[in-house]
Amino acid sequence: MYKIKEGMLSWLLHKITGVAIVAYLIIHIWSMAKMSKGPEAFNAVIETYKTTLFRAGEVLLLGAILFHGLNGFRLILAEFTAWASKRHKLLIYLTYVLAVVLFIIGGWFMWRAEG
Amino acid sequence: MQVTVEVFRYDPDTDESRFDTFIKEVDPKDRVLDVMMAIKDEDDGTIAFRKSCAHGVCGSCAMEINGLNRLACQVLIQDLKSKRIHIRPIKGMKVLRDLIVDMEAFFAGLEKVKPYFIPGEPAPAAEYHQSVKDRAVFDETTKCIMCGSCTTSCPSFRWFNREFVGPAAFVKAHRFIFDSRDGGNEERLGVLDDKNGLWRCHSIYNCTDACPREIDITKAIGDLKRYTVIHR
Repeated sequence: MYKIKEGMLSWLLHKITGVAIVAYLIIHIWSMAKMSKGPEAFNAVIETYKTTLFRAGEVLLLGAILFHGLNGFRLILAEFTAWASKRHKLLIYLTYVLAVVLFIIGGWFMWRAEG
Repeated sequence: MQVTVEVFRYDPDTDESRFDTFIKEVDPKDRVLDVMMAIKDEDDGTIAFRKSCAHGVCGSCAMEINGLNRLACQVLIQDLKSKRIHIRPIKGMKVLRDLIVDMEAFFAGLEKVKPYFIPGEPAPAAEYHQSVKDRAVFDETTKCIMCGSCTTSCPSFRWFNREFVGPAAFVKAHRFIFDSRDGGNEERLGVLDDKNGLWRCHSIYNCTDACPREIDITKAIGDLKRYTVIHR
């Protein structure tokens, strides 16, 4: 198998998180449609959102969006400035560090908040 | 030191492939090509692979060595930091025999970008003039030896689309598009700004890593992306 280096790992993660975000969007629109059917339906959907599975999913969604957004920003920099392209490894690691730090902070607040 | 060399074998007559293993006594400063030649001389004369200059100039001996595209003549055994050497043909091309692949798809991509000088209009009365500064813009991309390491390391080419013109063709395009004397940019931009062109590059940097001439290919492709966005 061809060795997976930094750039390729970021590309694979970018694809995976991108698909995950689209999957979330479908669930989101579907649940919004359900909610619009009245107060009982609204409450039922909110109850589902309070389950541990959904709350964990929301935290993971934050991770996916953080990585996808930061990596997307890195790619724009890399493709539009020679400066960033020459320093691609440094910027990739910076993306990982930023994504993880923000994920831990944001995830902690999300998980701690009342469901 | 002793190394275990696993070499990909393919016999077109029987259409069977396998890995052959050889245990070789080598010097850490031997190159992978030296070990391959020793295997061919001492163990199995039927192993087929391309080689010519053996000094990183001709680009014949590109192969996948321990999971990375490299020229066998440039990799020292000690640099592999492993006693197991796994050798495969470069990927994404039809294997003709053992480590020899059909390079047609690679050269087809190169031809698309018209990798030759197209005179600008109007041609100067005497010789073309070019400043040192203008020459330096494309200096790096003149170094390509067309070994195919970059294109066959690229997942966009290997996994998704063999019609993708590929990093090597972009390097050639860069060499002529940024040449102040050349006048064929409009023709080349048509090929680059196409569904099989520049935008299939996702800045994965496998090509930059694989290039035996240390051309910063992804940066060159970035230069072309900017140029295309501005000029088309």
